[in-house]
Amino acid sequence: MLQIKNLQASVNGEPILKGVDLEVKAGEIHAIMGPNGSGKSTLASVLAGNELYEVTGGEAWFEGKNLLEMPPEIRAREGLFMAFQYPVEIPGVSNINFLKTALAEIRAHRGLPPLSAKEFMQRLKEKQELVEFNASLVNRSLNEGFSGGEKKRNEILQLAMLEPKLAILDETDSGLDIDALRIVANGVNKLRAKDNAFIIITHYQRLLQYIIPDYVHVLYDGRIIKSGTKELAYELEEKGYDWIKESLQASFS
Amino acid sequence: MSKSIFNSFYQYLIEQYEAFQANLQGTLPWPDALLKHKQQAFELFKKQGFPSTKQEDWKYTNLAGPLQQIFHLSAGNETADLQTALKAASIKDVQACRIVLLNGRLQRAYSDPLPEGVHFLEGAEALHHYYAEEYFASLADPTGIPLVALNTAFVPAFNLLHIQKTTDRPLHIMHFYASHQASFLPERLLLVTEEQVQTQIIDTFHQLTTEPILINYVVEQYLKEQVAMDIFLINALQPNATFFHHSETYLHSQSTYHHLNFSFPGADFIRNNINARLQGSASEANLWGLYVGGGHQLVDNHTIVDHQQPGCNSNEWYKGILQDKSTGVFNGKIFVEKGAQKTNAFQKNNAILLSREATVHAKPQLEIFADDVKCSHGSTVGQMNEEALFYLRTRGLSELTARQLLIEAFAFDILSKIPHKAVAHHVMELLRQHLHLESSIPIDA
Ligand SMILES: Nc1ncnc2c1ncn2[C@@H]1O[C@H](COP(=O)(O)OP(=O)(O)O)[C@@H](O)[C@H]1O
Ligand SMILES: [Mg+2]
Repeated sequence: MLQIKNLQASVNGEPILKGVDLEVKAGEIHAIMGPNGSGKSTLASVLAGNELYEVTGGEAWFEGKNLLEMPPEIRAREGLFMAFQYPVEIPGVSNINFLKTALAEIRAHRGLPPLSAKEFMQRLKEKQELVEFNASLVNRSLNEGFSGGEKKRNEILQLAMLEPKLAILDETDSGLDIDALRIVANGVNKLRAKDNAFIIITHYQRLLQYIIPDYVHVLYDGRIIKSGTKELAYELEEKGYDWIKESLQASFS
Repeated sequence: MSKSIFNSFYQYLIEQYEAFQANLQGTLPWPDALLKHKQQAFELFKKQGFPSTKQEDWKYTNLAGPLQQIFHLSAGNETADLQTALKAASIKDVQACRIVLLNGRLQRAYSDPLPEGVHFLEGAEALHHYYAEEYFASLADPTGIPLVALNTAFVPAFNLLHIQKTTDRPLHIMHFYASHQASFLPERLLLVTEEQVQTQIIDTFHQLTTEPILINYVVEQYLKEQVAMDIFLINALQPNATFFHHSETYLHSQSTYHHLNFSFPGADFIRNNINARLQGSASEANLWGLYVGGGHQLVDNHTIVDHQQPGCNSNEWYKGILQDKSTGVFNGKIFVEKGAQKTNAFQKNNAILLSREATVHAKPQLEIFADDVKCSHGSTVGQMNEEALFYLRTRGLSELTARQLLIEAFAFDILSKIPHKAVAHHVMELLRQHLHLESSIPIDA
């Protein structure tokens, strides 16, 4: 589904990603862990198409198409979704209208007609239940006045509504209490399927107790320096990121 | 540089005045009491000329450009077939009573019958009305306001709208303009609303010809006790129009006034003075504005809210969207006079610049001489929120749709003040029509 080869990116001329390789297949869940500042959000942003980041080398292929050549909206319509670490508040843009427009655009891209108002509300209700996000969204502006947890849950609601093939969750767990964390994890577990995939970016191992990843990667200083199975996450939790840094230094010395 | 502009248009007006007056005396003689104001206004104009950018209120609004040509005084008796234009200018789904004017003169044949208790007087009837002597040139005092002096001196006649009863549908004053040479078109309205009346007025402006015109529209309004009046001013004039508008409103006790001011790209030059004088206690003035600039347009909104009595409220919010090489000017004065205790006065203005070459000059100006006052103001100038734009695009919205959504969200605070669904819809359509998003330059992060 996704092939990343030697991906390099910089911001304001400063290299951040220094050669990332990653392959994600349908049905898989990959976790990317790493200390703050290692480039996790940068990787997610580059994949989503944020023009703030300049791709300086490498490739990214999504379902056989060159991801890096597509504007962000085409990536989304092709089935890529990123749940933001810091979802932006947009006063004056109605949550409902926004979701309706987004869904219509994505469906149109897939050759499907827009849902009727009734079908849309039905689906919204279903998905709200799925992600246990019961706040009334009617008459509210996008993320405006939402608590941190509500914003994260709204991201997962959008994910559920838009049904992407590949979802990248950027630290969706940070700032969530344990109940919210469990709800988010449950949502993801219910949404996971044979034909979709998830990249879960997280700083802590906590979330991975609820969402069991197939693979765990450690991103450090713009590179994936270690990959493994879920046990790697436990090891990281136990030994801390310093362990990785030390073993890295050891291998260079 | 002098504080005034004495250009060839000024010279032309000074030279024409005598003949203009003589002609007026022959066709529509003004009563002495009003003529006196006219002559005084002319002397003022003669002495002061047009204001230059040396004057504080004209600092960013340079008249030298728009007034470099001669705008001819018109005979004021133009006729035109308005049938098609009227249809195009009517607002869909608004059951309004249309009052149709051509170059400021009532076109009875095209106008709808007035509701009971509403009188629209023109010519001699207006000149000799008891309210004319009482209010003409005393609500909008020409002293110190050059464009009011200009209007008072050169307006051939004025209209008087007298509202005695609550109206069950909005009055839509449709201002059409036609000319076959560059023309100066002064226009004037005196509006008196009797006690306890509730009414709504829509003002729209339309050009029938493409010759350059200088519109100078002065409105004097007097709201008696417990009146509720809403004005919706919608300016979607075309290029070659220069628009000077001065609106002076006096509110009596417990009256409520909403003034909604919308302008769009088109007219090369717009200057609005929107003034509300809270002359009776417990009265309320709300000034809302949305201006969309485009091309080389200059849009200048100067407002005054004058708290003269205790216990009055005012709310003001102007928002600007500036595209291309357009310039926006906003000046909001709030006066709280001595003794105007328990005043609440709020003002906000926000602008977004959608191009690197667009500019805005915004200045709140508060002068407070009472102590028991709640007063606040805020002013922001920003650009398209690139972060929000990216967020929307990652959800599948095209860049164009996302930009449109964000601009409409910005405008929403003002659009939502329109209580009429159909009028709000009309303004939204104008907004969409005048946003040329494809050409808006992404701003550097
Ligand atoms: N927009 C930006 N402007 C400047 N520096 C940035 C920007 N985004 C990320 N960086 C820098 O890139 C590095 C990686 O950041 P980020 O990708 O957010 O890391 P992580 O998500 O792993 O904490 C950090 O040093 C950060 O300061
Ligand atoms: Mg991050």
